[in-house]
Amino acid sequence: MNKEVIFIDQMSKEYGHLDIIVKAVDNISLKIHEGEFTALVGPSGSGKTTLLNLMSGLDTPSHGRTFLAGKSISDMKGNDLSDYRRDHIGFIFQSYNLIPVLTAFENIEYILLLQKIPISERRERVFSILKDVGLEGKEHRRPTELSGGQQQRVAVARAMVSRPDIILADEPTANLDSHTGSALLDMMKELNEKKKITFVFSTHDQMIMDRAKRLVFLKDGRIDREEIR
Amino acid sequence: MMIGKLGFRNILRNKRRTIITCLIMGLGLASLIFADAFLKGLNENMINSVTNSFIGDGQIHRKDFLKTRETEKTINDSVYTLNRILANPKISLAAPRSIASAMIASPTDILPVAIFGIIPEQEEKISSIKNSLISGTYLTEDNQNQILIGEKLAKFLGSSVGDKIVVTTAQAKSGVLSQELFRVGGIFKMKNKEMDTSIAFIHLKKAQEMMAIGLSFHEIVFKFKNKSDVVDPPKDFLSIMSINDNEALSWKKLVPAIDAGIQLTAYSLTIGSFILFAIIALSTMNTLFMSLYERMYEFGIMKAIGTRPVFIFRLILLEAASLALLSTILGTIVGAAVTLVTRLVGINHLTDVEYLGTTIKTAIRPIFMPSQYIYYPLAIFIFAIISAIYPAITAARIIPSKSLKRD
Repeated sequence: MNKEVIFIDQMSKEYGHLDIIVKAVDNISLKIHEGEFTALVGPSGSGKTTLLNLMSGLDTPSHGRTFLAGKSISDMKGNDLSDYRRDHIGFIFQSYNLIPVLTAFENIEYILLLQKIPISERRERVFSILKDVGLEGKEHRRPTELSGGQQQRVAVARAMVSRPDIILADEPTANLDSHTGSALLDMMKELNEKKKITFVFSTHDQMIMDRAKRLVFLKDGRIDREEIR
Repeated sequence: MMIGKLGFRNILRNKRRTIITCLIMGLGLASLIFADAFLKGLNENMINSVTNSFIGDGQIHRKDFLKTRETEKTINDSVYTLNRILANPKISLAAPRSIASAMIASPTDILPVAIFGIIPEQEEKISSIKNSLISGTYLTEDNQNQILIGEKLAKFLGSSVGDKIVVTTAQAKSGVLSQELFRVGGIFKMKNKEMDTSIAFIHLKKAQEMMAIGLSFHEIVFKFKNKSDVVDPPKDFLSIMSINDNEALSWKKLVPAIDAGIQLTAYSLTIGSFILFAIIALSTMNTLFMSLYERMYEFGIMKAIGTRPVFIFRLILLEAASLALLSTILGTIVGAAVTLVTRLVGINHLTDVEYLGTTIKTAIRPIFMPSQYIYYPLAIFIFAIISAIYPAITAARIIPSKSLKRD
């Protein structure tokens, strides 16, 4: 078995006011290992996105902890949490996920700037990753000058360029047509297989489910069942 | 630097909003610069109107003379005091005057007036009586029985140049009435109600004879050499000249309404500035909040991928600073241009208007001051930055999971 990247230990997230409490995530424990291509699957309101947010430290749990690369991110705050996310997690969101005033190159470079990577290495890594996602020659285009699929490729490149331990993707194909979505997923699958990048998706898209090696089915904030292929 | 790139590009993102905000801030600054320049011009004009028409930059009297107007209260050691003030290096001009309450009678009417005895050659250098003549001639040495009267007084008396007029006044100490026949030598119009209705000028020597005060006089009017001394009369000088039971007073004490008016304009400008700063602060805050709410998702992403809150805080402040910089450049240029044009052309709308007891005689010309181009832009800049702190804190505190909930 590969190295453990994320360990979610008896995690719960409750929302509510006064007597009305809704458990978006209810006592979930889950381990994600290096090189996995996992999909968190379930209908709307099943807790997929909340679980993804808790995994990444974007949201704080009501109970339980998330361990990322052996360290509890549930106890981190402020700059420590920001820096840890920056260095260990890559994010891909539904859409509109690029900074619109920056070019494709700058969007990818942004995270390396936050990591204070020297300029020569930054350029090398950005151009290399642009090649990997098939966007050579489009580095000076702003997001509005790119198609939806190309924007998501830039987002994938941005998520990968910092060489994180894991990439979390929240419904990455939701705003793409099936052809573009399929091509994007093939690319991510190839990166997973060739570069052993760990992906965790939150989705109810059949295309992702078809490609996932592991499916975690959620229902009412709990893990209903798992399927490993 | 990435933060600079982001900040600059973000303010160009919604050009219309940026332009409107810059216009609000810039034109606010321009109006502040112009208002300051205009009010300084108005103040200078008022001071000039007061000091150049009749009051002078200051006057010396016997103590209490201005309260009692008693003829016997002449300046102690009048001639010595006049020579002493003329010898002072701060003084450019000084002229003596004798003053008495009198009755002036024409064949048709009799009216109370104040008679001023003057030395014509000295007086014409210090006041605007000669220049205010609308008919007749100024007082001449060869004719001691000439009198100059105001336009309205002439109208009330039904007199014109060359007509006979009788002036009656009481002699100092004895109170014996003294009467003289004069001919109207000239009629002046100083565009000041009091001057034009109740003052008449005769030769000093004749006035001294009528008042029986010898070579003494009641008033020395003086002018400073330096303009700065006019605006802010030196207290030590006034103190030095206030000896021997005489009292030297600046125009500020002689016409307190003008000084109060100047202070009032400064006060009004301060209040106006604060109102304007508040508008600018709210406008900046509004713009930044509008921009912030439009970019919630974006800030959420920035924070999610590892941007520290302080970076976002700095980014918002930088955007505010960029807006403020553009606005201050615009405002300074527009303010300077409007001030320059109005200074060259002059603002005539208030000419001949009597304000706070004095008549504005010339066009108002706004005055350039370095402070207008240092303090106001700086204040606008600082206000804009301060008003950006709250939106910046809000942006820095955005919780990514909440802001990313947008569909």
